[in-house]
Amino acid sequence: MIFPILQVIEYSFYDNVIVTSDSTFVGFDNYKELAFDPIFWTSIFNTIIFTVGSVVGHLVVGIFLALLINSPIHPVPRAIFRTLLVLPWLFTAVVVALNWQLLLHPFGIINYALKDFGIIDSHVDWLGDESVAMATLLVISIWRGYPFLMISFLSGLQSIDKSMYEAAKIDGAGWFRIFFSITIPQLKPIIYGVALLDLIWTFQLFPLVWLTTGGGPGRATEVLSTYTYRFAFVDFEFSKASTVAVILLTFTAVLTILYLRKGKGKSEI
Amino acid sequence: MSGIALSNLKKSYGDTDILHGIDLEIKNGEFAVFVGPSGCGKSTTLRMIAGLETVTSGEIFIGDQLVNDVQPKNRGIAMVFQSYALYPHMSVYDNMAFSLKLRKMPPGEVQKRVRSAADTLELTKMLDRKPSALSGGQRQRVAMGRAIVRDPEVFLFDEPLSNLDATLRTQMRAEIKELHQRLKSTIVYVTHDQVEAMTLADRIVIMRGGKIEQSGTPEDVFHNPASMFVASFMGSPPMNLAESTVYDNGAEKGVNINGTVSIISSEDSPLSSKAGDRVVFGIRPEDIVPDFESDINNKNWTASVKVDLIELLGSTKLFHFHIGTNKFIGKAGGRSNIEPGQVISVVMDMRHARYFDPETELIIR
Ligand SMILES: Nc1ncnc2c1ncn2[C@@H]1O[C@H](COP(=O)(O)OP(=O)(O)O)[C@@H](O)[C@H]1O
Ligand SMILES: [Mg+2]
Repeated sequence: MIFPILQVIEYSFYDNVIVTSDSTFVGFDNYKELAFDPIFWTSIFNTIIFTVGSVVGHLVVGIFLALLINSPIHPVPRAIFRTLLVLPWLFTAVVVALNWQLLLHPFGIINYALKDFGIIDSHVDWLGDESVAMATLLVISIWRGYPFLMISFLSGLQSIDKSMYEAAKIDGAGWFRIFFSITIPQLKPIIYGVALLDLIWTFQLFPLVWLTTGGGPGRATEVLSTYTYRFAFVDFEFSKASTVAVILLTFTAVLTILYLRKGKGKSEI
Repeated sequence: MSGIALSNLKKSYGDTDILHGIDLEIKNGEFAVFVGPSGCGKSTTLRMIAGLETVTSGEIFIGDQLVNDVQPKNRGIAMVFQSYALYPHMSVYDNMAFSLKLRKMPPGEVQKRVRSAADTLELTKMLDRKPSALSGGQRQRVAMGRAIVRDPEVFLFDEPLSNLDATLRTQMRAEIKELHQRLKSTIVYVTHDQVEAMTLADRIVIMRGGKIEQSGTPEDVFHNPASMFVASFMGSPPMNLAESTVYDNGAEKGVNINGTVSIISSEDSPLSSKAGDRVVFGIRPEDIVPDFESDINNKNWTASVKVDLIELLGSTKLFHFHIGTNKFIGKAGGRSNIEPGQVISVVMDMRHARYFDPETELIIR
């Protein structure tokens, strides 16, 4: 577990590793080069957009759907809804990517549907058009990732004392007020926990991005993980790949430490 | 200030009928206590008054207003929950101020009300704390404070003391009583504890199986129970009940218990049943005393019994005995010299005896 990580860190200080046998120690040269690489900065920017967008989307959709399932409806439709809504989580990334590619194809069902409803004038290449690719990718990522948060929020909602809601109702709070003054504060520890966890996962997410857009078109959806992969297995620049990987690792490590400290703090209360 | 009227109030969950038509009038300023065994529908009734449960049929009036379809917040009520239902993420102050802020009350007025309530409830030093940093008794006070600040027409309490230990419960009971005497607001209070009911109530409403069994002053339900259920629910220990047969030899009329002991009835509590009728004879433990402690000289009311068991309660001693298969409990002074196994002569004060129909279980007038 530790050895490959150390190996990658070592590679990031060498030149032309793996491909040539006489690679030389270059110090921070790889890092310097990367600092002046505009694509690196694009991928950092994209990673942040993708991660923050996905996590916020997961939170909002997750809470909304959890509230919906938690509302007092008949237990049978409730169970059916819950099962259906968890489904996106169960498919592998390949299946998800292929499905969405079919649906979003310029001649796919989504384009026809949107055109029929008059929302778009002409067919859009959702994954192939630079101006919409990131937004489309976010939709797919949100669709794929909300169930975990929804399930977490649902169990959180179910553990809130019902009489607290009743007390608030008598105190004169409407649903909006109850949501922001009771529900959200009650869910706060769960929100922090899963948001941070989700941040860690999404930050280094690779398969979904690679399989849907491959980082493109152009560099429109290039994120750190796809950039690493491209360096390594497309350009065979393993030193550069290691360097990006180390940077990715550093960010992830910081988030993980935050998450673990948060968890520790909670158990101390 | 307003009273409450319930008229043929019914509640069903799906096909299950929970309340079978409640008719009740609670006067303005009255302290009404719903008491009854667990599951009899007390909380449901209270929650319908609060507007937390829908009305299946019937009417609820608070003051002159029909409130069936009125939002809880507009009913002029405040409720104290069994679990207290405090907002854990808010300070004690914010817990109490929440409803006032929602009503857009000026901040100065909010502060004044919260401070004054905290003062009465001795919570002033805790205003900045979170509920989790309070003891059970203090949480209970916060729950009451939250109700008091709103200055409601009607207070609703659902078993507010059942999570407290015995000492604290007695103390809070007195405080709630005091609160009522000071505020003079209408209170509806639910409990399964008949002692709580007796001590607090202006009016006790005894419920059983989704119906009102009897409603009246504590004295009334205690001394004149409408049914065997009320007789055996109120009082600790409850009224002694024994199957018996009425006899009437022309000169005297009385009951014969188990074919062994005959006791002649009193003019003050006339026995209306005919000779040969089976009745359930009821008498409170405090109306059975050892002959040597009694100032009653009526030998027609005595029986010779063997003591099975003694329970010392401090100022009184309960003695258990039986007549045939019927168990009885009597009350003697705390210093009485009675031993288990001893045969003593007891006096039953037949002026306070009650008779019930064994079929309907209702009192025979
Ligand atoms: N939401 C509900 N759904 C179905 N049955 C209920 C519900 N709430 C209460 N009941 C039933 O109604 C009856 C009365 O309950 P409740 O009023 O809470 O009794 P109490 O407060 O006197 O103990 C109980 O038998 C209980 O099981
Ligand atoms: Mg109850």
